Amino acid sequence: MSLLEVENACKTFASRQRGGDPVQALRGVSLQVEAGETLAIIGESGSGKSTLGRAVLRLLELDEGSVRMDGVDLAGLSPSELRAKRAEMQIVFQEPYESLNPRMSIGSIVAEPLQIHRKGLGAAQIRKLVIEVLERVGLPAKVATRLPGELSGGQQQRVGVARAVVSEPKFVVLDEPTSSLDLSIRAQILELLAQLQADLGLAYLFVSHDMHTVEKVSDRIAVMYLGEIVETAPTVDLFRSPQHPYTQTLLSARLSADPREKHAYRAYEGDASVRATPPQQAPA
Amino acid sequence: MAESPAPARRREPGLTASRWTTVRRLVAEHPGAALGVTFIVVLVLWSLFGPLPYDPRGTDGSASREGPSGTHWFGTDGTGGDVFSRVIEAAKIDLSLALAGTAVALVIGVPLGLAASTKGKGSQRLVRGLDAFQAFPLLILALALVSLSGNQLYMVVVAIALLNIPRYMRLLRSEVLAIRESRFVEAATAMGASTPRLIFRHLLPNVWGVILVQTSLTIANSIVVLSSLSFLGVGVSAPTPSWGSMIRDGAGNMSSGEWWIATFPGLAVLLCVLAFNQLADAIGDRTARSYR
Repeated sequence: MSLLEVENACKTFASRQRGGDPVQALRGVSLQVEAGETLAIIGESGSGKSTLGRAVLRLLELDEGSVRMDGVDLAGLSPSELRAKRAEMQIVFQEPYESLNPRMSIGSIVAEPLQIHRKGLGAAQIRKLVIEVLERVGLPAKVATRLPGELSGGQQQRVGVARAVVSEPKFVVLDEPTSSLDLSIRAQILELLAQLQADLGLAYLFVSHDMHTVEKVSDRIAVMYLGEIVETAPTVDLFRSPQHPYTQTLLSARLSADPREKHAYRAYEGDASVRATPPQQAPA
Repeated sequence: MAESPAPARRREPGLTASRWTTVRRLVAEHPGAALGVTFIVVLVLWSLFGPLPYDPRGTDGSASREGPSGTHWFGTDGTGGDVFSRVIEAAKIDLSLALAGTAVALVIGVPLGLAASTKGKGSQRLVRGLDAFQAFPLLILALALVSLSGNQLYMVVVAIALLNIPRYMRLLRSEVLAIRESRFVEAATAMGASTPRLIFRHLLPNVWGVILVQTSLTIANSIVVLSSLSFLGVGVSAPTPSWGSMIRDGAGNMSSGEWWIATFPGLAVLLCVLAFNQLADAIGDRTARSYR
């Protein structure tokens, strides 16, 4: 039994425009994440990868299909059971600043999951754990009294990570956690995430559109296109011999670090901008 | 009040500004609001505790319609009452009714607005209902309510509350709908926060600023409504002085050159409204929305 099992997840959103066609964000997605591994979900904007990241945490309800965490079907839980279960599954968002309440101090932001899930703890114990986790993510204890707006983007994202891991989850969705950060900061955050994974045995669902990042951090990669997973493979295999033509296109779109290497981009038929009418059969 | 909504923005350990420095900085940044607050505070304190030169309910047949002078600073009205004493005394009833009406509107309107801030059909219907209610000429409604109740003062409070509850509801609904979509609320949901926690830790603290701004504006508006009512002879009745009834009493004398009888209570209304508007502006500046 895998840690996370998603079966035939389907989600259709009503169109934003009146009378527009509904958007099929997820069209029968199935995947498994094993304890301690990183599964990357890669795909272009609008491929449904962020929807998938939220659906596995039941932040939005699926139209069809199931999500099981440790064998427990999340849809079968009562609201309070689900809230309790949330200690085990967390999320880090793409936008570090927007994901922090601007009126709360860093300390109380990081303390909140503890207040929710470990009600037995006294204020002093919570304080100690908060300082510990802040140091673990590379922030000095003194930031606890600051407001989110007083920190840099990289520091804000460290706070987001601290908040996600403080309740000792087994599984964390990383929704493009580095795509709004500078390159140098990006590397630091990725290193931090890898370190936390090694220390705490976390499993990650790493949602990204960036092949370079994904290559570095993931054990396996699932390629999403128009709401479907078109290919899943161990990272090494996927880069060595991509099977699906869309994957080949994604890989060919990468730029090499070596300027002498010839860049051969191969276009792919079908574009996510025509989502309303996806190809009946993904070209294979 | 001016400093309460603003969180300490430049919170530096060991460099915390003293209270006095904070007050001085606030005054320097918002001189209008500081002046307004000072005016209101002095007016309220004087009306509550201050010595008045004459009995505000008294009359003096020998000194009617005298112009402003050293003995009667704002002159006297038709029955010889001292306009200055009456203007100050009227603050007691006018401001307390305006504050009470606003408080009731706040206490009822905010929870209702929170409850209505969903995207469901019911909540949208409710907003349509509010539209219909607000389309009604509200001053007339207030007038009818108060006169039907036989000029009961509590009805004035009810009328002011009724006028303003829909405004609070709409404001809360639109603000909260926006914040509900924000990432930090999604993050709180993802960590398993209960509904009360979402409301009290995440939603309300981020709408406090606009609630305070609205409250300040509502007080200003209530003073005008109240004065209009008593100008029309509804609500506060003689011998209790109120600005509206004083303006009405003096209106007839304007044409005969006795301008002071209506002008000074009018100025009192104007300055109070200005003061609360300035305060609202300052609060708005200091709590500029930052959750987006």
